[in-house]
Amino acid sequence: MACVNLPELPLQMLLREHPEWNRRPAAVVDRDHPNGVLLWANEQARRHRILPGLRYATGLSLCRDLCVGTVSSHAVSRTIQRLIRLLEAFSPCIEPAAQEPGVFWVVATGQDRLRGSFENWATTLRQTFAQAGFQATVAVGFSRFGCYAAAKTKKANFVFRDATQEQTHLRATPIECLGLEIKARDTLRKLGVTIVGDFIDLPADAVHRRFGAAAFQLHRLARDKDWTPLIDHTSSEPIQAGQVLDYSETNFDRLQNLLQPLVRSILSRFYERREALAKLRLSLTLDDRSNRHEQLAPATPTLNEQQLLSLLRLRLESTPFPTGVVELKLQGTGSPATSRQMELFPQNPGRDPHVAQEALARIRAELGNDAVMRAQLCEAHLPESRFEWRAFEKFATAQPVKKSCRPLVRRLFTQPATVPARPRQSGKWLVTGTTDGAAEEIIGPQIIEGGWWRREVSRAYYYVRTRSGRWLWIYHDRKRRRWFLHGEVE
Amino acid sequence: MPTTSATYAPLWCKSNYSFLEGASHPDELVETAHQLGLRALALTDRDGVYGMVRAHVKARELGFHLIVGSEITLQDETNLVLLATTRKGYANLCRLISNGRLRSPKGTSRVNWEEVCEHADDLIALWGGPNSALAGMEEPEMSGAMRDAFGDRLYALLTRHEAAGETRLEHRIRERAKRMGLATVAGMEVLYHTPARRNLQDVMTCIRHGVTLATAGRLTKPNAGHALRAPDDFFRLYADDPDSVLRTLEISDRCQFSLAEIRYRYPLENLPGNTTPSQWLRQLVMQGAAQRYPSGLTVDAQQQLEKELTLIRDLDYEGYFLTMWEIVRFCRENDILCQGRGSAANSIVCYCLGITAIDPVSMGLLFERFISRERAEPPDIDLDIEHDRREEVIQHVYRKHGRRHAAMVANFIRYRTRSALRDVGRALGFPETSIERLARHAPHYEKPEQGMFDNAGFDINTPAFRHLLRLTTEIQNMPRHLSIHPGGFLLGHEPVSDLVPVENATMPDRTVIQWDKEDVEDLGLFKVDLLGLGALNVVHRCFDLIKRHDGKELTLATIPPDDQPTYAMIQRADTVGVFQIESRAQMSMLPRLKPENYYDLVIEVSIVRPGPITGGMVHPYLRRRNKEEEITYPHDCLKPVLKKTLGIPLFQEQVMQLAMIAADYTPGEADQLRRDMAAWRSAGRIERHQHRLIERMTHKGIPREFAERVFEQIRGFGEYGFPESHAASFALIAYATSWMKCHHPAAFLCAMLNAQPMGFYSAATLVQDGQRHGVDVRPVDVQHSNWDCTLARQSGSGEGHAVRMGLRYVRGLSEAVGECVMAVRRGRPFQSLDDFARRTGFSTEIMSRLTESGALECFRSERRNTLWNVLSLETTHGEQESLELDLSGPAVDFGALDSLETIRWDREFTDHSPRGHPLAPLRDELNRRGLPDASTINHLQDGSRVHYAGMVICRQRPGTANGVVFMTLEDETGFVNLVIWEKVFQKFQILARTESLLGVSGKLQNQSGVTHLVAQRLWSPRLRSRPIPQKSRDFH
Repeated sequence: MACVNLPELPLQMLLREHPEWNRRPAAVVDRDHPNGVLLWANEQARRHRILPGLRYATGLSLCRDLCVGTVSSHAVSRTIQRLIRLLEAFSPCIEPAAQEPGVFWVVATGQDRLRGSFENWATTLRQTFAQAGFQATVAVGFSRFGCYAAAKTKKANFVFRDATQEQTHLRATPIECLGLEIKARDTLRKLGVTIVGDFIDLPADAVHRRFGAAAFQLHRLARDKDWTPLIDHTSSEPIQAGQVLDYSETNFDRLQNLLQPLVRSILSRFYERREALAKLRLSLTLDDRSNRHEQLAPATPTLNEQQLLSLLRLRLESTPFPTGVVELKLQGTGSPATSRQMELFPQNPGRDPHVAQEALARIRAELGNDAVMRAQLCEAHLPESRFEWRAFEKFATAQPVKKSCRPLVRRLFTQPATVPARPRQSGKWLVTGTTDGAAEEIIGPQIIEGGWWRREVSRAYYYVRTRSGRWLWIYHDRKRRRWFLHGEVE
Repeated sequence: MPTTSATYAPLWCKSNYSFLEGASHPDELVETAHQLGLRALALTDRDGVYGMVRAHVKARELGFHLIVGSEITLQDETNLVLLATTRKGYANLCRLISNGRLRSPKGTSRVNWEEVCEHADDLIALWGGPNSALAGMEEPEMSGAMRDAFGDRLYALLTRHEAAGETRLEHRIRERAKRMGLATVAGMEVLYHTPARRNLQDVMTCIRHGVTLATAGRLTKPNAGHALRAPDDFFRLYADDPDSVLRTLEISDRCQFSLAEIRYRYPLENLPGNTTPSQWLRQLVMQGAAQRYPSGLTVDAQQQLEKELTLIRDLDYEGYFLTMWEIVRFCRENDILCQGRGSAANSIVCYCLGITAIDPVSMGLLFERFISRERAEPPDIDLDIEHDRREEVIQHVYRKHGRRHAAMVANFIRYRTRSALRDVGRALGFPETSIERLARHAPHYEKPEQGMFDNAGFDINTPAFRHLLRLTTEIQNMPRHLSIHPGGFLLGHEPVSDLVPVENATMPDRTVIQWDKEDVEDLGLFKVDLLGLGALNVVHRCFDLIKRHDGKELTLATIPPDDQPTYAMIQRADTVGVFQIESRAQMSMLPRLKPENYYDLVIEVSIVRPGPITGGMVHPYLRRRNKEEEITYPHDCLKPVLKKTLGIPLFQEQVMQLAMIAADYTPGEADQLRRDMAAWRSAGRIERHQHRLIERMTHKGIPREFAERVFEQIRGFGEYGFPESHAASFALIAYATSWMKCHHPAAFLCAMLNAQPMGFYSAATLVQDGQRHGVDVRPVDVQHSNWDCTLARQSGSGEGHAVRMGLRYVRGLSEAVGECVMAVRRGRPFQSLDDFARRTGFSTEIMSRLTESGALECFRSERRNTLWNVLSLETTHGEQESLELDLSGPAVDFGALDSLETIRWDREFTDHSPRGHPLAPLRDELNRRGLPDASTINHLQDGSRVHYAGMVICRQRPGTANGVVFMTLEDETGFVNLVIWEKVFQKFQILARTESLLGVSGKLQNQSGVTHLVAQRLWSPRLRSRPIPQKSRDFH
């Protein structure tokens, strides 16, 4: 058993992101606000007595150069995944600590023989992390808690020779190193309980009664009464399946037949994990050694084999291959399955909105993921900023509203077109050339000025009626001193 | 098309007093309108007239026509612009706004259409704009009622800002106006005086809505078309409808009301026996004089009295004095201590009425500082009231005069550099933590500058930071929101809401007017200041304790004057807790100045102030007082002014007299100087006197060096300086508290502890000081302690009292819990811990706090073991209502606390320890390390090199000390005062700012009985055990 500790992982991440802060007092805060609480502080900050638990404003009063940033839980999760990938080269079984980012338990059994000794193994591991820009401490021992305590307290790697040594070290470990709630920890300190040994000696029931279930659980763990096996991180990993062909396959039907057992295998493994397939990645190696990757997503996570095969066929048929396929790989990503998906014979309702979603999924499969979009209205002054295209996700229930009068339709051009400048004198203004004739009526201006804080825009808009009767929407760009046709009124 | 000489009047203008909407000061709008040649300008701030006085003062100065109005918000969320044509119309406007404000949450106002119609007399209504009911989709239902109420004073307001959708709205308004027979008037919503303010207006909009510029969408205006336009430009905008433009002039001609028309009458209640106010005041003054001067009025006093009464009658100020007398009488009748401060102490009438406690005649105080016929300004009486009971007096004033006739004066919270950086930075989308870092590098009062960006590690060359710097500078000093003046009241014979709208304050039961102190002064209105003073609270509590325990009934007037033991104590600087002379700086001055009488105390109170210090007046005064320097005068004409203070100006009055005599200032100029001194935070106001003062003084033959020093002193006074009368009032309380500390130390300590938080020192220091003076201080104990600290007769000694600390000192304990302990104990004492827990039914949380504080030690149980036991309570509570302690299970013994731990726990959970000073248990170890105690240090010779360790109780970095930091360190024997030069502080600043147990090596300065340790090195003492860090009181 071994424990790898990356002390103050979010702080390490923050300083990797802002290397210019390495020489300055820096800390991680829980939120971007002056009253945000400092969660971790670097050595320079600590020298100014800036400690975790202080508010940022208080920290600034101690050192007004204190730099802080937030680190999202999402970023931490991503980093943990990355670290796991690094750890996979050192152990077959890795369990990241659920409550403490940066702590990993790994199975180290046999590594002494592979790497010469546990010390070598730990040193290589530490070096690998250092190359990736992270500081880590590795402790190898006999119990989950003993390793954890050593990894948290030791500055360098540590290998326990026997269980007694581990126990002795554990008993002398300060209780701050336990993941106890702050209130419980403070109360224990008041009672004079400052090391794990004293904590272990307290009656278990009394600890439960006074400090609650979490402290009780920790007490049991520290006493080594509650041994649990490592839960390997791979349990929620994507599932892969593949096949290498000894010939070059060009026929879609045959490819479909080859994909079917792979899909079935993946779905059955997801079924065992009580998950459904949410995304499917298809990787094909072609005869000319080139690769092709396709990403598909069913309308909702599914365990339906036919649906997936159908989507695969549509995607493959939409873009034929220049040469045949010599290798197929499928990788599915899952999400928890609903109870309905887990039923053997699900009942389909009479009108099923899923059918519509599936149709859209088919369109995406055939035409690409950006094929289904919807316009979302936005609050802005510039016409082109008053809507944006967003991926269409699902149908909402229609709620039609009666309009008292039919609004005029103003059609915007994707790119405003340059038009001749308006004559300074009272000459004819042939906005669109001679096709529509000269401008006969001009209404405006309506002025839009904005964006001064990033890129200033100043436009004077006019409605222009041409001799042909078209109503054009034109603006004068005051910054560029040019005229543009931006749209037309229908 | 009209000619270029044609003009118009903008009728819908909002200044920055439409908080976070308008982006120009009212005077900027008026000034620009005047420059553009506009006929008039209507200031129509949103639901108020907040900025009207500022605009009025500027318009008066320029001879410009200001139209008074407001944009009213209706309950249907639409707007209407109302303009006052006469005084009556203005009163209607104020009443209407007051109605809306008083029924709405703070910061908002809503009136209904019926109210608008009811208040329509002499008001012009401009109905229009994009957010008006007239422009709405639905046909306005109230159009008939509005037409009936306003008649030909109702206009349809057209607005053009060259924005999308305007044409449609204007078309709709024109159609409806035609149907209703309304004349149209051309307009626009003016939000700033120049297009350059458009960016700031966008930012203000973002601040108001709590969004960033990037996410504001259409909350901001689409263009910069809300600036004041020149006449040509405006006519061009309405080229198709010049008649509507010309109608603005017709309206401006109809609006002839000016704020100058406000005639103010002070409230007068029914006077007894058909007496006139003048007769009644004289009668009261004479009654008071008989008490104040039992042996009869002196000739000087008689003459002064007559002079004052005549002036008061001539200026018609009797009502003001009678009101103050009535408030003081209320305080007396209700046993509330109060005392007038400030310039009122110059008046013998105030003295005889009991408003002030200083005899101005015997003190030779200058009455003209209070009221002057030339100035013809309302007098200003500030009344100090004991802090805890001020609200009673405020509510009495409301009751007495009625909510319609009394309201508190407002205070506008304005943008300073830091608040501006925070708000503007947020609007620009900067991370809040970055902005906070930048704010810490910003100056408090000066404008932001480029250097602070560099210091905070930001690149000023990026456009975003350039915007931040520019906008932060622009927004400086603009009002952000309305707050309440600490104690200023406006009282009126007419309803106050006829003078100015009244609205709700944040505090319950408070109403506030829409003008601040300066506005009230500019219009010559009377203000009453009711201020809270913690020291009076202490005095009152102490009187009560002395009466209850010693049977002596004392008042401020009956405290024995000129008590030598008291002055001896003051001369020793033994003044911890004494009002005004307890600070480190004051304590350093006392042994040098050695006050021997009351007037010395007046000097003492005044001399340790930025004014005399920055003016370099302190040392010359001390030298002359100690006869080390000859008393000379810079000019013979100044002898009468400076004689009292040995040729050195120390008081504000002297500075003003200096200006009048030596620099030939007129009374008006001198008063302007006083106002500019009071407004010291407004940059440049004092500086404009510099040249005038110095040149005129040197011209008169006064040495330039003296003139420059006087100016420096004026600048210093601006920051904080006392008038003599004010210092005299404070010296009286300083003497009273000194006398109590000297003769009733236990009662004084008890009163101080119950009045906390206040003063310069923490409870821990007060307790230590009391103990050093022989007061027996007993710890918090549930068997004996009340909520407040109490006095208990000492057993054995026969006389003297011990102080029993109150439950209020148990950290985190509510008063209700304290009352519960007292109520349950009243039946019979608690028998045991179990009995206490069962009878009180307290939760684990409360029991833990009591245990940790040592309040349960009376049950002969060690704190740790008791804590272990009480921690089991909560589960028991949760399951059933049994309140017994669970003592089952194996016993665990956590051992007793040692003496250092006991003190640590006391300090941690009660902020003090009567069981000892944290350094007392460590004294042997400190001695072994060669670190003497404070008492030893204070007896060492001047120039000795010493090493010392003590607890930091106070840090100070006065602005007048050129970066020098002063610290007070404490141990069980007393204080050591540190002086840390800037270089040393910079070198050891982390330790100096954060360490609570600090080691110092340095050189001792021992002069005139004042000891200072000049630090050369700071260090952190390494002891076997460290006392708990304590919070020091830090001042700047």
